[in-house]
Parts: sequence; C-alpha cells; structure tokens
Amino acid sequence: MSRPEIYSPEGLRIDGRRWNEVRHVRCAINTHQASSDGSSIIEQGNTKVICNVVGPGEPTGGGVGGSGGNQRAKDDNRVILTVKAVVAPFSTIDRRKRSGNDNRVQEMCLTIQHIFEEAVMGHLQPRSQIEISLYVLSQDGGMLQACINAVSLALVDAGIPMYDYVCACTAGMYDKEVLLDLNRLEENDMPFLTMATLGATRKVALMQLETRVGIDRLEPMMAAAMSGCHHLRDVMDAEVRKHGKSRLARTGV
Amino acid sequence: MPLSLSEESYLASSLSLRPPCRPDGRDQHQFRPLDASAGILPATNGSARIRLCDGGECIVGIKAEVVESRKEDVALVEVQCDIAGVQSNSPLHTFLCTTLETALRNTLPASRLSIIHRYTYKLFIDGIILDHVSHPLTLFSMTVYLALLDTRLPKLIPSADVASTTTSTSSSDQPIGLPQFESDWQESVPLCDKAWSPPLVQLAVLAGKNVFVDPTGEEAGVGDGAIVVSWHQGKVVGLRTVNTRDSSKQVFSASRDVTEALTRVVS
Repeated sequence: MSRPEIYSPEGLRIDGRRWNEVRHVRCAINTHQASSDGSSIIEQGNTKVICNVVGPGEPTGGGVGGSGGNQRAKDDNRVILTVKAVVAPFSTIDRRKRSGNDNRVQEMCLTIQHIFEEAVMGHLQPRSQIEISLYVLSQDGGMLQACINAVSLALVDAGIPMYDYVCACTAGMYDKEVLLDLNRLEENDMPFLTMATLGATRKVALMQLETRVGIDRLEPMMAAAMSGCHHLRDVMDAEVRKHGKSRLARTGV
Repeated sequence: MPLSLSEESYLASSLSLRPPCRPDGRDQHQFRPLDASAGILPATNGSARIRLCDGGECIVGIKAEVVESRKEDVALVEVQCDIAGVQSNSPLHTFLCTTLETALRNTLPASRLSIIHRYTYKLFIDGIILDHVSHPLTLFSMTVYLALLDTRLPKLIPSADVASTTTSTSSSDQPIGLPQFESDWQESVPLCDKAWSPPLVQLAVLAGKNVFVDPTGEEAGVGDGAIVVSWHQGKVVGLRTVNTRDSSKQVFSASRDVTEALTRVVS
C-alpha cells in the first residue's frame, strides 16, 4: 500500500507547503457578544476552536478548575482561572465520543490554566475568577496550539490585562528536516513539539514534547517553532487591531 | 437572575391576560430573531449553527457511518449532546436526546438510510449547546433540523449494486464485498428531498388559557406547564406535556390551540 509522501524531495509537504510555512490562519474576536465577556474563533488549517471567556467575576466556589481548585480559591491575592474544554465527537475523521473527564482533555485544560496564570496580570484582580470555555469543533493536528491561541485572543477581547499574547505553534522533525505547524497526518508520522511563547519575545511559556527525539534535533525544532509563534503573534495582533479600529469607527470617535 | 415573588406574579398575570402581554412585546406565536448557518464544518456530513438573540447557541454535526443491518435491533439514529454548564447525564440531556431520537426514529424510514441489502448508514447526531438562557429544546431541535437538511451522503457506485444482485442470485449465501462509493463529494446526494424532511420538536408554554411559542426562561418559569410538540411534514406527530413548574392544570384543554398555532408558525 502506498503511503502519502510526507516530504517530497522537491521540498513540498502533503498539502503543498514548504517546511517553514504555517497553515492558513483565520481568527476573529468578539464573536459571541451576548453570551460572554470575551470570545474568539480561530481556524488553523482545518482545526477550528471557539473560546468563550466569562469574567473576571465573583468566584463560584472552589474545586471547579480541576485538581487543587480549592487550594487556589483560598489564595485571595490572585485571580482564579478555570478552563473547560469540550471536544466535539464529530471533530475527528471517525466519530469518537470523549467522556467529560477524558484524561487528555483534562491535561490540556490544566496546561492552559498554568500558562495563563503566568501570562495574566493576576495581582490586578484579586479574589476574582475568570472562566474559560473551549469548544473544539474540528481537529486536524495542533489542537493544543489552536486552543492556546484562541484563549489568548478571547482574553484580549475580554479586556483582561496580560503581559503579552501567548502564541503557540508546533514543529516536527522528519528525518533531518524540520517541519513547521503540522497537520494530523504529519503529527502521526513524526516526533513533534508544541511551543508557546510570550508574544514576539524569546520567553517560552510552554514546551511540550511527547515523543522521543534526538537531543541534537531539538534545537532546530525549537527555533522553527519559535519563529512560527512570532508569526502567529503578528497575525493575532493584526486581527485585534483591525477589530479595535472597526469598533472605534462605530463609536464615531 | 431569579425573579422576585412580586415580579413573578406580575409576569404570570400579564401572560394570562387575554390578549396576553409578553415582556418583550412579542406576539403569542412569534419567534425571536435568530441567526442560522449551515455547512460550517467540512469534516462532517452535515452541520449547522443557530444563535438566538439572548446568547443561546447550538452547534450540531452529523456523521454517517456504514454498519451492517443484519441485526433487527440496530438503531439507525443516535442523538447526543453536550450542554455547557450542565453535568453530562443530567435529566436535561436525557430529555433532549430521547425526545429528538424518538421523533427521528418514528419519522425516518429505514429505506432512506439503507445502501445495499446488508449495509446501512447510521447517523450520529451530536450537538454542543454553548450557552442557553431559555429552554434548549427548541434551539437544539431547530439546529438538528437544519443540519439534517444540510446532510449529504456519498453516492454509491452502481456497479457494486449490480454485482451484489448477481452474486445473490447465483449463490445464496456468498459474502458480498463492501459497498463502493464515489470519491467525488460533488456527486454526493442529500439525505433530505421533497419526499422526506426532518421532524421539528418545539416547546410551548401555557399560561392561563394562552399558549406561547419560543418561551424565554422567565416565561417558562412562571407558566403553568409546557407542551412538547413534534411536527413533521405539515402534521403534528407527537405531543407530550412537561412540567416546567409544579402544576399542569389545563394543559390538555389548551393542547389543541398549541398544535394549531405551531402548525401555522412552522409552515
């Protein structure tokens, strides 16, 4: 049986991209004005995520945000983040029903919570809670990166003070070639890492590598992922500025 | 925010006036404006999204799988949903899913999903209710309706069908190969056509002798009871009463009005 060629000798990938090209990114903020304080939709290739943010508001009691929720509720001086994610059963090629407390989803929520606890200026909103809900509608690789980017945009839309955008991107290593922003087929076929940076800086907020890879291959992967993050930051920033301009025009200032 | 006792009684009495007075100034049989789009998810067979003006939102994706239909008890439609802010397996989930499942199973003929004699499609209808302020049944049902209208199934390559009939005539119990489908999605056939359209399930609230379609959360809270009406191709095919509060007085006397009203509204 013939397998699809992941990386052709001419330097083209399955979907026709070069090694250093990210998939088409389409994002929008303030999409759910009626139901939340901040919201965003992001599409990276065929991965599509909706994020709703409610808050900051009064905490609704501990134990909501996974393990240790009670502990954080007592800690009055910082904001409490709760992250919930729903992965739609129809999001994958073959339908798969995930239960509400699927381990991978829970872990992803906890990861996102930890990242944003650092990125949000929590000391400015003591004794308050921010609820983040994520809905993964369609996944084609890079679910975590799309979720992180979506949360970033939604928090910006909600007007919550942050140090910078948190942008995430994946990079994989195919033989000796680094590939940026993998889709699902590529993800299944090679080791890859997800990296999140704080804006266009070299500060790393997250690095997740779940597969074995030679230590000498790690550095080029990290460099590529970082450049991908910086590119995503520009895309997201452009969208936020565009939205800000259109809002300003509407108010007639 | 819950209403105070005096607010509640004011609302209840203004709803049971004849003619009634709804808080948002709507007519008794008038829906709120909504924003609907279909075909939003290319990875599904059919998908739809509906947003209400109060922030309620529902996304439905439908996937079809090929299953063997040898067993008699194969259920061809499965409805599941996820409601934000509500624990899974709550009574609300069961109510939404079973109501729609029964409505669909009663109206959808098995021939519409059969492929060749041994194989059939099974529809998995999954909904996510992102937010709801009023009762989500109407919203969910409308989104499922729209998604089913959008559903397309791949076209069967006719040679496979011919091969199956010839083998079945020559030797009776030969295993037949899997059905072959056209790979071009442009050729796919829609599930719904003029002969069959999906059912709709609506919730209507009763207050006094008045019937209200598309009730808001407050209206449902002060109403005397509610009726779930299944509507399919111009006819009412199912009727059920639900208690939104404690009493269910006068529910049956008013049910005729509801069905008439709904038939008019939906068509």
